[in-house]
Amino acid sequence: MVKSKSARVANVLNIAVISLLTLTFIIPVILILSASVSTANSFAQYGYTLIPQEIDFFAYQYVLFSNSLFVRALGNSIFVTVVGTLMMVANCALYAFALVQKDFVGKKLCSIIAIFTMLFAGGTIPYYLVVTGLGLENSLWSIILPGSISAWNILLMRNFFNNIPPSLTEAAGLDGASHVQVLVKVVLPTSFPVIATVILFTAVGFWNNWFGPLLFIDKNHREIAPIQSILREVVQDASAIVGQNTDLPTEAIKNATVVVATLPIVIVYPVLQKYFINGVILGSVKE
Amino acid sequence: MRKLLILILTLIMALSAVACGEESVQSGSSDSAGGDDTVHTVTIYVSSGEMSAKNDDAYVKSKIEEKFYQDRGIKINLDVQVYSESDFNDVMSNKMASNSWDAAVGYIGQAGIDEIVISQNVCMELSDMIPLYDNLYSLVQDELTATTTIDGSVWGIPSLEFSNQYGVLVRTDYMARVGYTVEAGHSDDLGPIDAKPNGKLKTLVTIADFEDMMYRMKAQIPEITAPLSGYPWDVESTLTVGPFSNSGYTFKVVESTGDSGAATSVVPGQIAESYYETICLEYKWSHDGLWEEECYTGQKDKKIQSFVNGKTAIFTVDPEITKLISVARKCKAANPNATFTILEPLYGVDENGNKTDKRGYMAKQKASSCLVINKRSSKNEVILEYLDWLASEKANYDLATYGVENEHWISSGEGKYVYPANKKDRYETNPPYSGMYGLLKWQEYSYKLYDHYTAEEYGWIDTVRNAPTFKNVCENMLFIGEPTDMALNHQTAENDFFQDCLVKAWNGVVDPSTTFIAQAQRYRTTAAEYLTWLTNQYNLYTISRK
Repeated sequence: MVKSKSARVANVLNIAVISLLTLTFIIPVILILSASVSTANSFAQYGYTLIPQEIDFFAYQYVLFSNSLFVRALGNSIFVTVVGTLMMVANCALYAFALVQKDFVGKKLCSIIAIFTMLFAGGTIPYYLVVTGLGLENSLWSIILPGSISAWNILLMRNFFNNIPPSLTEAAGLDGASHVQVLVKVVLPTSFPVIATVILFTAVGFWNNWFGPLLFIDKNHREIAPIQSILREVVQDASAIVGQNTDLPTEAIKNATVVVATLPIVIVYPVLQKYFINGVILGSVKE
Repeated sequence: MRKLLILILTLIMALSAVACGEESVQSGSSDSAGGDDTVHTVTIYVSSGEMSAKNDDAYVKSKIEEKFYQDRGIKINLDVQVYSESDFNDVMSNKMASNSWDAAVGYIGQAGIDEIVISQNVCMELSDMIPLYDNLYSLVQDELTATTTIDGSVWGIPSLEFSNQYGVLVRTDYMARVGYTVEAGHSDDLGPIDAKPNGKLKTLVTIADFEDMMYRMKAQIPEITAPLSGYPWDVESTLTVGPFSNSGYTFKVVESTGDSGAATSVVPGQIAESYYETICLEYKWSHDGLWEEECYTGQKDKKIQSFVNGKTAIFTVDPEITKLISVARKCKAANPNATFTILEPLYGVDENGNKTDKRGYMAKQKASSCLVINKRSSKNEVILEYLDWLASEKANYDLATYGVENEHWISSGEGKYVYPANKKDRYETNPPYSGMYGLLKWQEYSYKLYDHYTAEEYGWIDTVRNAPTFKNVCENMLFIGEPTDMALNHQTAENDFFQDCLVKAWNGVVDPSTTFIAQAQRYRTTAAEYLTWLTNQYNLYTISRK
């Protein structure tokens, strides 16, 4: 098909803008990677460069091995992320499914409660007191449980469930399926897009969470701290000794920490994405 | 897939039911056993920007507890947890709410332990207790005023840090290129700013010389982007405090006194008339490119990088002397021909350009940090006993601060130590012990410097330790308990003055000669109640300490 001149110009402009945006996104990543393998002297002389002037992997050695709890912390983070994400999906799906039932008497009240918590929060201290009051201090559940339900995700799922053709669920009901069976066998399999969305954002949230561990896991229980806490400690320790007897490449260490902290998510995200993004509603009934 | 999903859902619901009701683990305020074998667990939260956990902390802890038991017959479990200054506020707020702390250590000052903890009315009053511990009392009594409020209540145990800590690091090779030297006796006129010195040298003495030197560096040394590197508060603690007798917001200034000798006006340093010349000078330095860009906001690492690269010639960022020496070494490693010195404090000049006798660096308050005890803690006696034990013998304090002698450090002379030879390389990269169980910096009681400095560097340290200093007139005065509505107006006035006058001057954007008077007057109007309160507080402190 022959494109008109204006279409070609628009095409060129689009490519130029998107290329510029791509560079804007990719250059900081390259700078971080480059800085993470730079020596202290080269960083002091040249600062952030796209190509490192002097390469040294000491920063990665320091990040990965200076703290003996690194591997354990990685395991803790994986546990928290997987369990927390699954709990989030389960809790939100259950809540949202109840909200879409026509015959659920407390539907409006439950919606209002969910929305209320989105608008008003108790603050850090009441949050801390509730979690410690439940006896969750110094355990991974202090991080998992508070983050295992979200009003935002409930409403997201509710809106998605509302768009599922009622005939699907009615058909299942006519076949004798209970509410749980309808949810598990009909609704959830057709809700991959919203489940994928909730999983992706929740998993990143759990993985990156450092504030919860700061509050609820003290220095005597570092063996259960997740990876972000440990990495944060590594960076703070390196910064703390700047100017003292030792001489560490603090900038390289900070950048290496960024790489190590984000690498698992960066690796997993695109691999899983293709399994989740599925807009096809299976077994739909033609009306 | 569906069966798997059902299984996962079931597992999750089962996990949720199991999760709640974990046995609560108290954060350390419980005692174990009973009777004479009672182990007193003391939980202490420490705010520190320089301390971090080290490999041998647990080992040193056991040695401390063992010796403490041998000496005092008390079994103690020191649960010391160190947090960065940025995290301390968040952590401490929650610990105070849940009463899961026995003591806390932090710096006194803006957003310090006095604001975060003492002002919250959660600390134990110690005026009757401290004198019962002879060693502790005799060590800290002179500085107890720093933690004592007007009514005589003592809220904490103070540190005892050196007053003389700050300096200014300068590239002497750059100085020589523009004709300046720190050697005495030279005083030739160097001619126009752009002219090369041609062998003439001038001794750097006054703030006017310093400014002239910076103009010459800017004009004659192409490598330099801006001669001066330092945050405004650092510059005001080192370079300008002497000549102008005002260190900006870290100071309070007595503007006027009545016939009775009582102050009639005490104001924050940055709105005082004496600060006008300082801020105008800073604006000029920034506007004329003598002071680096982003002097107020730039990151410390970037400033170090600029100095190491040779893009700046004068370094006064976080200007504690051992840190300055560390920066000098980094610069030397990158520039083998670079030479350095630590400046003596500069003299001021009068309106005729003649040297005055006003010079000095800002004196660091000796009691710049303190330890406070939770008023609901039952461990107050144990804590004070421990501090008394530290104060009873230098060997105890050295164990708690530097580690086990001959294992972690070996004395190499008065006030110096080295690492054991077979561990030197390892310890230089990763020191074995953090020093966390020393709790407070009692430098005037016992201080050890790692003996790896050259003779020249020791000379710099002596320069700083012997430099004349300026003290804040409100040193050791706790201004806490400001009423809320007054505090809001005060904060509004601070923010407005800061943004509309100071920041614009530091960025070289707006000449403070056109804004300072009006902005300072606006501050005085908005925070009038606060200024009255501040003046009254000052007078009450002065009277109570006579």
